[in-house]
This record gives sequence, structure tokens and C-alpha cells, in this order.
Amino acid sequence: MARDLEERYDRILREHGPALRRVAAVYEADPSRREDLFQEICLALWQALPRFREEASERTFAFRIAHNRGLTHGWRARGSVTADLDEAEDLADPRLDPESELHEGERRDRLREAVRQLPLTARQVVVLSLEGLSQREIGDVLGITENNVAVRLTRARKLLRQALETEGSRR
Amino acid sequence: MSRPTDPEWRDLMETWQSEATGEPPAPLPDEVRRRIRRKVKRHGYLLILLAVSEVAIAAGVMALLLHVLDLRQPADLFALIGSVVLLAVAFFYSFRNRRGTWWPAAESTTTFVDLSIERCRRKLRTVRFLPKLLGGGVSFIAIWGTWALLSRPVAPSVAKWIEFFGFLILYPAVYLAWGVWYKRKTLRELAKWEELRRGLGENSPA
Repeated sequence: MARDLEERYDRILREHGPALRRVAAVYEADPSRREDLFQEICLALWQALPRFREEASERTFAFRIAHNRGLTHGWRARGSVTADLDEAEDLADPRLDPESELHEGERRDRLREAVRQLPLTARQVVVLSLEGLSQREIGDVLGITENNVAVRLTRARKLLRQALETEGSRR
Repeated sequence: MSRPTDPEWRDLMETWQSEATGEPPAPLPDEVRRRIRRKVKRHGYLLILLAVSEVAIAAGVMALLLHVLDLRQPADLFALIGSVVLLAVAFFYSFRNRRGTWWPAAESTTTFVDLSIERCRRKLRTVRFLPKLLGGGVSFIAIWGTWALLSRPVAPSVAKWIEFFGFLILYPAVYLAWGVWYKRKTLRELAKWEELRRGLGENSPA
């Protein structure tokens, strides 16, 4: 039983770990505290796993935990959620040559910065959509209907576009 | 994974997810895994310790009372009965108020926020209950203490009275100061959760 749980836990982290790290990055700008948040998410995932009854997919389950942890973490470490992020990001794509990486890195930074500027509810829906969750899955994570997701997503995308334009003109 | 038809959004998705595409995601490092296990254990021990210490403190208080009180004396019998009643009220309230306010990390955001708000409200209810419990406790100690002091064969000195009433003033003052600090902290927390709840409720939750 414990072994099954561990295997399942490992699999969830293998499959969704990078996405969970990105969620942590949306809630915590400071790299060291971001690592703390990621560990909090892992801890909560491990604690919640024995009660996971397949009512939702593993992905939805993992994202729920990550967002809920992000919310509480953000308020404990006040200000860090919306803090400016000028530091170089730590997760680079090693397949790209330095020039492409620079370009790709800049795009990523712009996008992440723009996402961070969104109001919390818009940020959540945008992040989940950028992670490739369907509207039904986003609804499951946030506890709202698919229609609500659609409405929020339309509004959030508009806000993201504006934020990206602002970010683009600043650089 | 949901594939969007909008090319602009698809492009953004690829950019967003590109940061971890270099290597297959590594398993969680052993050190992190060990740290998580330690945290889980510590958390479990802490919960057990909290529950045990509550019962142990109550049992300790009762044992001490039974040891020092002379139950043939009416004042001491009153002290024992009063202590049992106060402890029972405190325990009953504490358990009732904590029921159903665990942190369900895997719930949807809306449910999680609703439960967090409920948790804050329960904390505020505890703070509101504190002066009542404290009032009951102080009145009881005042009656019992005065009774016990007056029942002594030799009249107590002025210093004894000052010591006794000093304690009666200091003890609730410390608790009330803590209550004020805790109430402010909880109100700030509640305001944040409610602000978020209003945001979540913009389009009526599922």
C-alpha cells in the first residue's frame, strides 16, 4: 500500500512536477522561496494522496493542491506574489543555441511577468489554460462551471494581451 | 492535453511550457524526498503532541487540585467542582469549534477559500468566547480564593490579599491582550480571503 502510494507519488511528480514548478513561480517571485513553495506543494500532495479517490484526474488533483498552496503561501509571504522579477530565470532549455535561448528566454520572461501582473482570479485561469487544461478541468480545479471558465478566460486573455503589450513597450 | 485552435494562444502555451522541455523531468531529488518525509512526520507528531498536551494539561490540573485540596473543606470542594465545570466547558467548546475546519488541500479553489473563511470565523468565535470563559474563571477563582483565605484560622496578611488580587488582574489581562492580537490577525486574514472570495464569485460558482 505504502509502496503503491510512493510509486504513484513519484509518477505524479514526474509527469506534473515541471508544471507544478511553473505554478509555484506564478505565486512566488523569489527563487529560494519558490523552492520552499514547491516543497510545500510536494508535501501537501503526499499528505493528500491517500485520500485521493479518482473523482478527478491526477492532473486536476495536483493543480488543485498547487493553487491552494500558492494562495496560502502568497499571503504568508506578503508582497512576494506580485514582486518584480528581474533575476534570470533558472529553468532554461538546453537544446537551444545561446542566441535562440536568449530570444526564447526573453519571451518566457515577458510572458511570466505579464501573467504575474494579472489579478489573481485571471492569473489562475490563464495559468491553467497555458498548461493545457481543458475548460472542464479548469472548472474542476477552481470549483466553477465551464461557462464561468469560458467567461473568465475571455476576459483574462484580453488582460494578458494588454499586459504583454505593456511589457513589450517597457523592454 | 487540450490543444487550442487559436494560433496566438498555442504559441503562448508553447512558450510557457518550453522551460522544462530540455530533459525528461528528473525524479524528485532524494534530499527533497527526505525533507518531505521529515516534514510529514514532524507534522504528524505535532498534531499528536497538541492533542496529548491538551489532555495532559487538564489531567495535570485535576491531579494537582486533588493533591492540594482537602475535599472535606467546603471551599476546596467548591474549587474542585468549579475547575471540573470550567475545564469541561473549555474542552466542549474547543472540540465543537474545531470540527470540520481541517485544511483540505485537494479541494477546488472555491471550496478551499470557503473553508478558509469558515476557519477564520471559527477563530473569531473563539476570541469572542474567551472573555466569557475568562470572566467565569476569574469570578470562580475570586469567590474560591476569598472564601479559602477567609476560612484560614489566622487572618491572611495584606500582602497575601495583594498577591491574590494581583494575580486576578494580571491573568485575564495577559489573556485579553493575546485575544486582541489574535483577533486583529484573524480579521486581516479573513479580509484577504473574503476579497478573494468576491473575486471568485464574480461569475457565480458551480
